[in-house]
Amino acid sequence: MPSLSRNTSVMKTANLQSRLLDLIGRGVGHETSDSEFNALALEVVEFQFALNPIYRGWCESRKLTPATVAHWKQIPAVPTSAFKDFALTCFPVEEAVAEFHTSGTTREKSGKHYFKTLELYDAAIVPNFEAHLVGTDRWAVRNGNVVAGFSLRSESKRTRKGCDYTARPAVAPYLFILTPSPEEEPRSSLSHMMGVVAERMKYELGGMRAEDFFFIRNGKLESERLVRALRGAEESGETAVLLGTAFSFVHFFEHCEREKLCFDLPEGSRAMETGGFKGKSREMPKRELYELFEKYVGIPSSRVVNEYGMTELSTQFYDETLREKSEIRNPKSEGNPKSKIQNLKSVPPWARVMIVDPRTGKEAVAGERGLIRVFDLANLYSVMAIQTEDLGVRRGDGFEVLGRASAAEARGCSIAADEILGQN
Amino acid sequence: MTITEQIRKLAEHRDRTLAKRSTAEIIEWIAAAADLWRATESKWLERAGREGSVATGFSAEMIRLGLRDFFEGVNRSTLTAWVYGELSGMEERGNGGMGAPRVVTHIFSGNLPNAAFQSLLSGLVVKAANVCKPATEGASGTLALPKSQAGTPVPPNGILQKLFVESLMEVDAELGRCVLFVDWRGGDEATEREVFAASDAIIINGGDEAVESVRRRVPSGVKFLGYGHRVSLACVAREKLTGEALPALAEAAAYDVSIWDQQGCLSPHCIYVEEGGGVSSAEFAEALSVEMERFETKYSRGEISLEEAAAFERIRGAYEFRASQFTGGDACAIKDFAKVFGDEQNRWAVIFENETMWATSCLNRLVFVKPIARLEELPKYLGAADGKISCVGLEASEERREKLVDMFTGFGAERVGSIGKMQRPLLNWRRGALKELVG
Repeated sequence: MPSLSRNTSVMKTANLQSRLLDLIGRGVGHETSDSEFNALALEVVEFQFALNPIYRGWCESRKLTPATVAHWKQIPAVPTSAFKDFALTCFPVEEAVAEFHTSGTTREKSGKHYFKTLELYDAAIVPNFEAHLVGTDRWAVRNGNVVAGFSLRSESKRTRKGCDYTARPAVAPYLFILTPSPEEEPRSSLSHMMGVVAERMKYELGGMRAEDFFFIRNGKLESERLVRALRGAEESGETAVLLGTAFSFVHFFEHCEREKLCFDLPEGSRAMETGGFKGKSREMPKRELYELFEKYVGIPSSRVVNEYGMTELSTQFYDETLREKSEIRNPKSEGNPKSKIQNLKSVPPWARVMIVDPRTGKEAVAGERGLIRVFDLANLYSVMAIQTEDLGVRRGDGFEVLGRASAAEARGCSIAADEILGQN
Repeated sequence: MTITEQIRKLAEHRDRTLAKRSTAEIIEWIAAAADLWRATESKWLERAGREGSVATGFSAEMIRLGLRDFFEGVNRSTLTAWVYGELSGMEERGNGGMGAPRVVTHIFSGNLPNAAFQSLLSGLVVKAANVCKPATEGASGTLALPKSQAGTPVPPNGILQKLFVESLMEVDAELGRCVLFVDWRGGDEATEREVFAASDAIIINGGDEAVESVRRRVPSGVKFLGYGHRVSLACVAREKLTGEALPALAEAAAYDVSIWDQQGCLSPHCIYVEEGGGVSSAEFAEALSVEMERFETKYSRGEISLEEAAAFERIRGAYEFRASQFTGGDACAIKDFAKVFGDEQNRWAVIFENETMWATSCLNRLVFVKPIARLEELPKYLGAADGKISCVGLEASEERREKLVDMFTGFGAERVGSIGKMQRPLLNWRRGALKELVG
């Protein structure tokens, strides 16, 4: 490439990254119009086509290149499985500042997502998390840095003897994270994300170290320590925030059952759960899991938020359950009234979600189930368009995740893939 | 009438009718029914295609083909060879004497009629009354009624088995009434207990869990034959890989993969093509794809659930991505090379991959073609399928056959058949089943 073009494209790149940071910096409250998103998406795909030869090969095989693609919906999506076999980067992989791995089973290789920079990733975490878990959307990006940590306004009207709330500054929440710390699991995107959240929170709590918020150490859930900490939260009347994998929560609730423990966390306390069960234990229906939150820690299902994310993405998707009403873009979608579980995930302005009918390969009709395909602008240096293995359904501007696309039993007497390999 | 009473009446009817006939008469009866299915323009085949398609999602044409081919193997001479072959010297006992089961209960899971018919026939030829519990269509929980059929009244469970029994009744109503269809929800242990207690033998075709669960609860003194779900594979030896032989071989392989939409335990997931022949594994894959397309045109792949379609797309997409990274070169020389042939609507797919290790298919006509240096090395490439192989389809010279068959039996294969006949086993392929029932 002649040096002039290289310089131009270097400039363009730096420019693109900072424009994306600006977009993310606007927060999750303001939509991007289709044309604004489209313009950026097409720039990103052109960038990725030029600099990611593996992605280029894929686009060419689909005959969908920047020359022929006019709309982001046509952008060829990479199946998540490709991350197991290939380093999908727009930069030399040796220059990666971070890499996240999927939790592969022993039989399977794990997928790897390499990062040239974590700026976009970290910027995408905070406003989204805050809007969906904290219920506000007040933060900003300045000079490429996220500033203003968040804190929860105490929604607890409870006054306890001896506690004088009037004199206190912005009330800090108690934070309980049931995942390993990023120091312990540097290859886990979930741990990294939790680390970013913990860093923000620690300033509010003064004197605490981020690692104190993590309750999985050396791969084990520290149930006793968690129990003591939750008692502390109960007694203090402070809003508690519990974050973790569904699997870890179930593990903790089983501990509570065995030890005959339960907690009545202060009103306003909330939880975020994520991840499937990945064959470790039986698949538990959401309603059953959320009833356990109510039973063991006193958090009602209306305050449990599911997070949908994956190693191959830079952006997370949350249920709208706790968002401030004025911000919910789908006021008609009240969730399933029978279950009181919201289930409706909102899509941040720098991303799009499309549901694809696996029978036709085309976009599913609204309301029809299909495979979830994500377009994540924050994935600038890898691949923006990701084909997941999860089933979902469009609901207004948001979507609902229905679970992994596994063919359970064969209809005949053969064995389908998932049965023979065990769930994976 | 309770189930226990129904079964008691059934058994008494059997004592008066079936038990009093000779084995030859019973064979004649069954063969006459099979004739009805083999007749040109058979109304039974027509109904089975039409009604079965609505219930199972399989296409009407494919159902007719599969059943026609099944009944080709059910005639006087094959029935005679089966029964007398297994029970020679035991005819007296088969005549309702001591040891022969009075009531055989069959539990079917899945939609494939062949296994169910085979099971039912084994009960009839030993002169037992038969209680049949068909699979609940959609019992797997993932098979929703295909969209095209929404609104159509759903026929009762086990429609194909019921049609077969109807044809048996047309030939001889009295004998046909020795079969009773019973339905209960999987997990209804109370009903199961009643039925098991009233049975002398129980035959179950089902998933390993279901088979285990029944095995544990079978009362002592009651015979138990359990057949779990299995997978199959095919092998082509180098000496059989000639340009001349290729089209017929590919056609035969396409049949084995496509019939019953690959849902049978005898359906191959992988086809191993030996290196060093006149045709490479990559070329075989291409020839196979042509035949898969031809088969699809005549006997289309049935409707599948969203979950099945998603699984198909997941596997196909993964391999297509890998294939996109290889734009040329010798498929068989490049490590990890993959090439995908498929129908635009995912009605079939052939995935060539330059990796010998077993890969499990999502079924519904998605098959892997893999090279193998020497067929004798197959055992180390079975991977997740090890211990779960039902049938090996084999195309090899006489000289190599015997040793290869020994090897297959060595890793637990239940049967070795030729390619094209993997799904058309002889009636006696479940060796020892009749002996087990009668002994």
